[in-house]
Amino acid sequence: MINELGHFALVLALALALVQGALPAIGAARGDNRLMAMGPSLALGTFVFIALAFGALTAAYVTSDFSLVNVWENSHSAKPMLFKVTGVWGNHEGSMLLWVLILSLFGAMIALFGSNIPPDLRANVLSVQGWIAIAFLLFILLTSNPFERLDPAPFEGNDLNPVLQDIGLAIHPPMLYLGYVGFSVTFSFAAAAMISGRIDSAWARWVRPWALAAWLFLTAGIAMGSYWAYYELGWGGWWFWDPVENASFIPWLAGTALLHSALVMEKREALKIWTILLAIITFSMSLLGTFLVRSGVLTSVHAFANDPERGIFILMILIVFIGGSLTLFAIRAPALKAGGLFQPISREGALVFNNVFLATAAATVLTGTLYPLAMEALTGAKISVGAPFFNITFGPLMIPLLLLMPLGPLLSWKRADLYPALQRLFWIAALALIVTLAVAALTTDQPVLAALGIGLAAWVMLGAFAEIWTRAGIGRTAPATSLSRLGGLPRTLWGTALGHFGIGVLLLGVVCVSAFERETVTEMQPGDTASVAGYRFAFEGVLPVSGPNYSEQVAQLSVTSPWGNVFAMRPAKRIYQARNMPTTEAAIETIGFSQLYISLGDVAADGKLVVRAWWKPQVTLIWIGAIFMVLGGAVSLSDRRLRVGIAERAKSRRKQAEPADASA
Amino acid sequence: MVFWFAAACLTLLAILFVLMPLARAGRDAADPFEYDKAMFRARRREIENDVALGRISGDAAKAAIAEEGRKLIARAEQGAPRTGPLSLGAARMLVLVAALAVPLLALGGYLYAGNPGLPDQRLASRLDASLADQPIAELIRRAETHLADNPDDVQGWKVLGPIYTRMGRYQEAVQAWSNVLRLAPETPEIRSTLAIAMIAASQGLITERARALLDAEVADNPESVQANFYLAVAAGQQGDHAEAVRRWDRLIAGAEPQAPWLATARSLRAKAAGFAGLEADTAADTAPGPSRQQVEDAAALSTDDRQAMISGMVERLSDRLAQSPTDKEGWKRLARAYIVLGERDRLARAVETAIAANGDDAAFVGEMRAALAQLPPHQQEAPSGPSNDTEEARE
Repeated sequence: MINELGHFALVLALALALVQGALPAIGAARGDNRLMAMGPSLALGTFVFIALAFGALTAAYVTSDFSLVNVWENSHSAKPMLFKVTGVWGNHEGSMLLWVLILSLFGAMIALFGSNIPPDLRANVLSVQGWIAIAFLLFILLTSNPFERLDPAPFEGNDLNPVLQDIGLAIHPPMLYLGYVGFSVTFSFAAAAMISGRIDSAWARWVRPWALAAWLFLTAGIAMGSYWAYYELGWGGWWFWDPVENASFIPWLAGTALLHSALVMEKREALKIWTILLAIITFSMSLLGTFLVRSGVLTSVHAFANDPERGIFILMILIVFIGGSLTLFAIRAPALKAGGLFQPISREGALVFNNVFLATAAATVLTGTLYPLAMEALTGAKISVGAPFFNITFGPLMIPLLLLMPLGPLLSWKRADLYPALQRLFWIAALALIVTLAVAALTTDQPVLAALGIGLAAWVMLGAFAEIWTRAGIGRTAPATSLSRLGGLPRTLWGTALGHFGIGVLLLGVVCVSAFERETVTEMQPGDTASVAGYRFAFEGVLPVSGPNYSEQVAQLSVTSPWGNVFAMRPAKRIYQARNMPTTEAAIETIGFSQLYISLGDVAADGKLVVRAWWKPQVTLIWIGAIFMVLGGAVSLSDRRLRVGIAERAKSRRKQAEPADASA
Repeated sequence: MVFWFAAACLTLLAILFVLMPLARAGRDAADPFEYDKAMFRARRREIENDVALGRISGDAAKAAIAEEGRKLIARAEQGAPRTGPLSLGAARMLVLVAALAVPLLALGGYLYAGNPGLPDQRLASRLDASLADQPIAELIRRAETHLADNPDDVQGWKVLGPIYTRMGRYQEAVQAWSNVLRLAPETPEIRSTLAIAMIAASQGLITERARALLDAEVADNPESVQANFYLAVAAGQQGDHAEAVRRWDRLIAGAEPQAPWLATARSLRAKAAGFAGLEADTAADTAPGPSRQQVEDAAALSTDDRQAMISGMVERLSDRLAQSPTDKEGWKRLARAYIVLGERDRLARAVETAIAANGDDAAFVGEMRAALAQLPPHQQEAPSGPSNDTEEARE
């Protein structure tokens, strides 16, 4: 009964979404308060029913109800409880349901926390959210229904793909979707603004907390996905430029650009057209990512052509939403008045520079991701655009951006003097130069690029705090005054600093691990020893262990560090019984910010075991940097001092919540 | 019934989400201009804060606040150039239509796609159902649960082993028989039974471990038919066809004439003899067999490929016979091939065609009939481990 009620709730949600798509928009068009007021209630209703459906599916997974095809295909009764739950979104149908659940969650959040948004704008936003929900609910019900039944139920399920049975996957997709789908809000805001014709700095102010929230979830989701691939796949790489990764990275680049251009629009009412366009593009890229990952087009264009039902459907959604919003944009954009003027050297100028480079980078990654698909579709040749393409194109695009990053926040709006800003950065530049020279001197056998990269990272990390340093007057006023000024700075300033600092930390990790990584691949038998980067490891033997739904061969390694302390590492090879599928469980030892990473290869012909060991210096900084970025976003979002309060006269109304002046 | 009641409650809740705003509407119809005023105040506060922090100068702040003020005035002058709101009746009408459409759409959509009568089939509740109603898979499941708690119950493993084999779950059969060997090494034929399960799990390939187990069995029990049978197969797989023929001969010589595996053993022996280049014991084997090159190729192939190569040769022979159906030696060879491959249906068809084309030769017709009799429907091709009926699983 629960299963069928879940199915029924999902259909009810579609019916409510249809009403949500229609009535509030009619209300906004006619200026009818009653109809506009339906938006929040309907958004909450849609969310409640999708949540009920999601709960029913989760219940079926938890109780191993294999009368649902989806559960039978992706679960197994012997699976640990955590992976029974995460299995809900570890497959196509369930993950699409999570997608709409999060979409409707954002709708509900606008309903609950958006009372500072003018009613007509909010009604239009919720209607656009309703249209997106309609499209995806139809997609789920017509092509990917998780509530399809099997009768009689098979006794045992097919189990979840073993590489997905991991704690990383428990959190990564929900985070990623919170980001992906979060940009649907900015899209809806853009569409609503174009429908109502009001596109001004206030709009940017209303939309920015949503963009910021989506951005920080997307950042966290991508970072988590990267760490998951790093430790679970056993290759020791942290980013593969894999199309699935790119599909989440393109919206991130566009979203980061949006975050910065919305700042200009809010403060100076400039870049309006561009900001609206970015809001459309960012969500379009999210949709495109969903299409790429979900249609099967990545595995093979031909596989997609053979079973095109789902792919065509998402493609239609893509065409309707991207095409529709761009048409609306084409109609509205010419009517927009240009906003505040500014000199090239100004805060606005710096942010335009940022946007140009981020947008170009997004376009580059998009090209590299789609080119193989186009090639396969046109010529049938299967090519892959790998890391070299992205390193050559993406890397150089980032360098100017990183070089100017500390400078931007120091420039004033409208027109700025370059000289005082540079003067403030003088000591930071000097320090970064010293770091570069020191690294170059210490690592004579390494490419000079490594030293330059580390110098750049130091420049970005130190420069991130230049504005705070200056504003607090550290070194120029008494320490006590500085301290109190430090406390008085807006949180958004700290948010910006933390976010930019995180980029520097990430860069440091990337440069260190790219330049100084050491790798050893050896065939070992019990009693053998090998070493990597001064760490000696002795292979003591292999121990069979059995887990709840797998059995594994655990290699016993005793590692001696260059300083003589000894610790054990236990890389393993697992076989998951239900699918008879092997996975590699790497052993990772964190030493400071660096990691020793050991994974097992195959058993060689002579019975020896292939052991791959990497020394990955400062590798954890990559994810620590991402944590700083997320932290920066959260700090900005928490800035309560500058909220927009509706008139004192209307005090009976609920108090408004509006984090403002967020920066990333 | 309960389902429809619950569905009705959900529907009611959905309708409430549509109707609720109607009850509240009108009470909090704030002037849209308030939002602009609030925005102006917030911006002014922010600018004042920037001045306090020294981010902008006082003059710039004044200009900025003036700018915000101009924006506010512009909004105020713009007013609300909207079309008038709907009449109360029209708005109510729309909402009521929506409130009606929601249950109708949901019901229609659900009846189209859903299975309202189908109950949940949770694992736990299915386990509680009465034993007799349950398919074998569920009984296995119960036995597995029991064995997970009592891994030393040798009887349980003995029951599960053959069931796994029959279901094609060879890996688990190997595990079950390994446990029997661990717990009761004195069980008759246990080593060869385990070896056979391993062979099945590796798709017919006799691995080093399986072979060692077979050797151990023969050391204990030199008369073990299944061990000797698979040792002969193993010799063939390793390319030692002469040894294979020797083993087959010994096995066939000691066999009871009615043994079900005898036919298979004979044909395998003939094949081994063919590979070994030895004179086979039937006249038919003087007919053109695979060339030396073909045999060497076949030996180098994997089991699957070899199978494919053999069936390719059989296919060609069958095609040739379709052109010249009077080739009696050809028919005999094709029949033997089908017997080896266990292809009962094609054998029957071949025998039929052969007899139809050569009905005048009584001796040939007899031979073909005998060939067909060698492969009766559902005959076991090879001896299997101790057979346990599925009934035992119900104990």
